[in-house]
Amino acid sequence: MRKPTFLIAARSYIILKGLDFLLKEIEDIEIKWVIADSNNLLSKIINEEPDFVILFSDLITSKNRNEFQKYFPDIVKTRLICLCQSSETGNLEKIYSDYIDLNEDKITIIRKLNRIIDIYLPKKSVPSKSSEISEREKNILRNVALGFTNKEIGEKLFISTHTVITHRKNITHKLGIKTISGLTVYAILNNIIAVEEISK
Amino acid sequence: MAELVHMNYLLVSVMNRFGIRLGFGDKSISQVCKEHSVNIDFFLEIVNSFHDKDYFPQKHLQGFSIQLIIDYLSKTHRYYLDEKIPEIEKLIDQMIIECYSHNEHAHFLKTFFIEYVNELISHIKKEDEKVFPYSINIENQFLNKKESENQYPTSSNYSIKEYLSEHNNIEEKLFDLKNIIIKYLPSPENQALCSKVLSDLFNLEKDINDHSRIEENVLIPKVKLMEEELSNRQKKT
Repeated sequence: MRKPTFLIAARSYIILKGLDFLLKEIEDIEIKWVIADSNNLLSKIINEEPDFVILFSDLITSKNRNEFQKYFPDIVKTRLICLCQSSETGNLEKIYSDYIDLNEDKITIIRKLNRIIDIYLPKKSVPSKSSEISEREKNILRNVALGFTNKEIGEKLFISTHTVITHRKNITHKLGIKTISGLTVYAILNNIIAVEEISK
Repeated sequence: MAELVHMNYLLVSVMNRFGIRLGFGDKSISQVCKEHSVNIDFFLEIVNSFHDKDYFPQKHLQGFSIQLIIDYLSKTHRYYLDEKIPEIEKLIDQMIIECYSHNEHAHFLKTFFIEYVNELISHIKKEDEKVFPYSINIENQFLNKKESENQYPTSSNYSIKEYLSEHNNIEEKLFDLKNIIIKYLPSPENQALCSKVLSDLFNLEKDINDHSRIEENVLIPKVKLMEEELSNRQKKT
C-alpha cells in the first residue's frame, strides 16, 4: 500500500525541524517540508496533493483565509492539520480537519497523529505475513536446495516457470532469506531435505 | 583524535587503515595525521562518511586522487581478509560447538559462511588484480596528458555491471547468514557467544557497505569520467 504523505509547513525553521523529527517516529509515512511564506503554500498543496498538511496556525492570515476556504475541507482530498497553541484550540478555522497542540508531550502527539491517519486513511486489511511456508512452497524449496533450475522445477511439478518464480518470491519474502545457499541451509535445518540428498 | 574514538569506537579500525594506532594522548586530529603523513582532508571525509551514513560528500570525495582512494580501499580489503574474516570464522567454529551442540546440522552454518568468504575473497582479488590497477593506469594516462601510444585497455573484460551485481550478491549472503542465526537456528546454549558473533557480523556488514559505497559512487564514476575524457582527447588527434 502507498505510504501516507505529509507536508509540513511553517515559517520557523526550528518548528519545522522539530515536527520533522517527531514525524520520523511514525512508521511508514513520507515527509516533505517547506519553509513557507504563505503565498505559495496553497498552490503547492493543490499541486502535490499530499494526504496531510500540518501547518503552523500563523500561516493562515486574513489575506489568504478566503482562498483556503474555497478548497478546504471539502474540495481537495488533502486534510489540513493545525499546529497551534493550547489557547487557540477553542476557535479553530473550519478549514482544518484536526489540530495538534504545540505544548503536548511527544507520546500524545504521536498517538494523535496515528489516530488521524487511521481515521482518514483506513488501512485495507493487510494479509498477515506468516512465516510458515505452505506444503507447496516446501516442495519448491526442496527442489531449489537440490540445485534444480526454475525451468526444471516447473517441468517436474507440471507448473509454469512463471509460477515457480512467484513461489520463490513468496518463499524469500516469508523467510527473509534471499540466496540459494541460504535457502539450502534453512531446508536442512528444518528437515525439508536430508543431508545425504545434497551431498550426492 | 581521542574524542573521535569516544564518539564511535568502530573508527579505530578505520584509523588503523591509515596506519594510525591508539595511544595518541591529547594530540589533535591534524597533529596525528601530520605525524603519519596522512592527507587530513581525505581522512576527515572518510571518517565522517563512515560514522554517519547520511553524510556522503560524493563530489568532494571524487576530488581526491584515484591513488589515494585505492590505497584506502586496498587497506580495507586487507583488514577484511587478514583480520576480520579469520576472527569471525574462529567464532563461528566455537559457536557451532558451544551454542548448538544438540543440533546435528548446525555445521552447515560454517559451510555457508565459507561459501560467503570464498565469494568475498574472489571479488576482492578481482578488484586488487584488475579493477584497481586498471583505474590507476587510467589516472596515470590522464595526468600525463600526453597521448599514450597504445590505446588504453578497455575494462579488461570486466564490465561495471557485473561488478555491481557481485556486490549485491555478497551483501545478500551476509544478510541471510544473520537471519539464519537470528531466526532459524535453535536458541543458543551460549547466548553471550552468539551475541558476539552477531555483533561482529553487523559491524562487518556496515563496514562493507561503506566500502562498496565508496567504490560504487566515488571510484567507478571517477574512472568513467577519465575514460571519457581520454577517449575525447584521442578523437581530437
